Formats: sequence, C-alpha cells, structure tokens
Amino acid sequence: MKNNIAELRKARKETQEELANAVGVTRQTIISLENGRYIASLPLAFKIARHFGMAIENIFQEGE
Amino acid sequence: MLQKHNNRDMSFKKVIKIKILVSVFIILVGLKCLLLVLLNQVGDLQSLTSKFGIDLVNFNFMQGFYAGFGFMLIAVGVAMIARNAELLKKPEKFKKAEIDYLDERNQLIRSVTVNTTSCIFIVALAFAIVISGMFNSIVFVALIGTFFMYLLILFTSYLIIKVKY
Repeated sequence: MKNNIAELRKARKETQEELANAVGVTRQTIISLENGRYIASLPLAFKIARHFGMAIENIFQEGE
Repeated sequence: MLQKHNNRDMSFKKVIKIKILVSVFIILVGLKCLLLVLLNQVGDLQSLTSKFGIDLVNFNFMQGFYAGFGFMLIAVGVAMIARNAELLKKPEKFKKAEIDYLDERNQLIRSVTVNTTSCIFIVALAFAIVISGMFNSIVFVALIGTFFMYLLILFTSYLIIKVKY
C-alpha cells in the first residue's frame, strides 16, 4: 500500500504532530504511515481523507 | 461528532477508573502478604492454621518472599493510583494518554507483543515440563497443571472473543 500523506501534509505546511492531533493518533503513527511501515485501518484512512478534503483512493494506492 | 468525542472521553475515563480499582486490589494483595508475615512474626500463624487442618510446612522459607513481594505490590499499586489520579485531574495529560491508549498502531504493537510473548512462554513451558520430569515430580505436576490451565484459559477466551466479533 502506498500513500502520499507526506506530500499532502507538506503542501499544507503542517507538522506531523498537528496532523496526528487532527486525526487522533500519535506522531509515531504518522511517521510509520509516511514511511510505509504501517497501513492505516479503514476508519483512520477515512479520517485522514476527511482531513485533507480528498477521496481515500487519492491518498492511498495499491502497490509496494 | 461532539457527542461521539464525549463518548470516547467517557470510555477512556472508565478505563482509568478500572485501572484504579485494579491498583486497590493489588495493594490489598500486598497488604495480605505483609499481614501473613506479621502474624507469623508476632503470633504463631502455623499452630493457628494447623487447628483448621492446614499445615504451612514451607512458610518460614517463603516469608522473605512474601515480605518483599508485599512491599513491591503496595509500591506498584500506589504508583499506579497516583499516575491515574493525575490523569483524571490534568486534561492535557489525559488527552495525551487517551491518544496513546486508543492509537491503532499502539494497539497493534500491544497485540503482537502479547501474541509473541504467549508463544515464547508456551514453548519455554513445554521445554521446562520435559526437563523437570527427570528431576522433580512435584515441579513436573505444577508445570503441567500450569500448561493445561493456560490452554483452558486460551481456549475459553478465544470462544468468548469469537462471539463478540
């Protein structure tokens, strides 16, 4: 699973801490998501998509 | 949305209150250990229990352990109560602890840790059962009892959790 959370977050000039607080997870979870070490659950994916105002498939894509 | 958030707060508050209750129970077990040692030091606990047909043949050997274990349990219980009471009083610390507790990656880490520990424990226990049988039958019976008790709890928990999900 690939994602472009890091690019979207940087485009909004947001810190990992701010994004973490907005979606209710720890900063370590955001770091792991951005590095691709951890795959978000469906509820968390929805929260992230809602935060960026985008559809889930525009943030998360299938593939290595 | 606000309602949902409040419910989330409530559930974590409930978790903290349960932790405080568990801490009180831990302190009570610690006090019981110390009370047993005290009874043995001041009075004659062993002759008292023998009147009820209970022979504490190994109590003198174990009382050092009971004293240390009792103090440790009381210290752990008090520290847990202090930490959780502080969380209930300070909203910023409460919020951080709530995120740490509910964070899905932390939940996954906890789950994998418990699974791994459980697997290693059962293999180590099986190994100990095989070795202990050659040296001491009492230890062998105690270990094999632990093994079957573990399997029973595991199987029961699995059935209960399976129904829940």
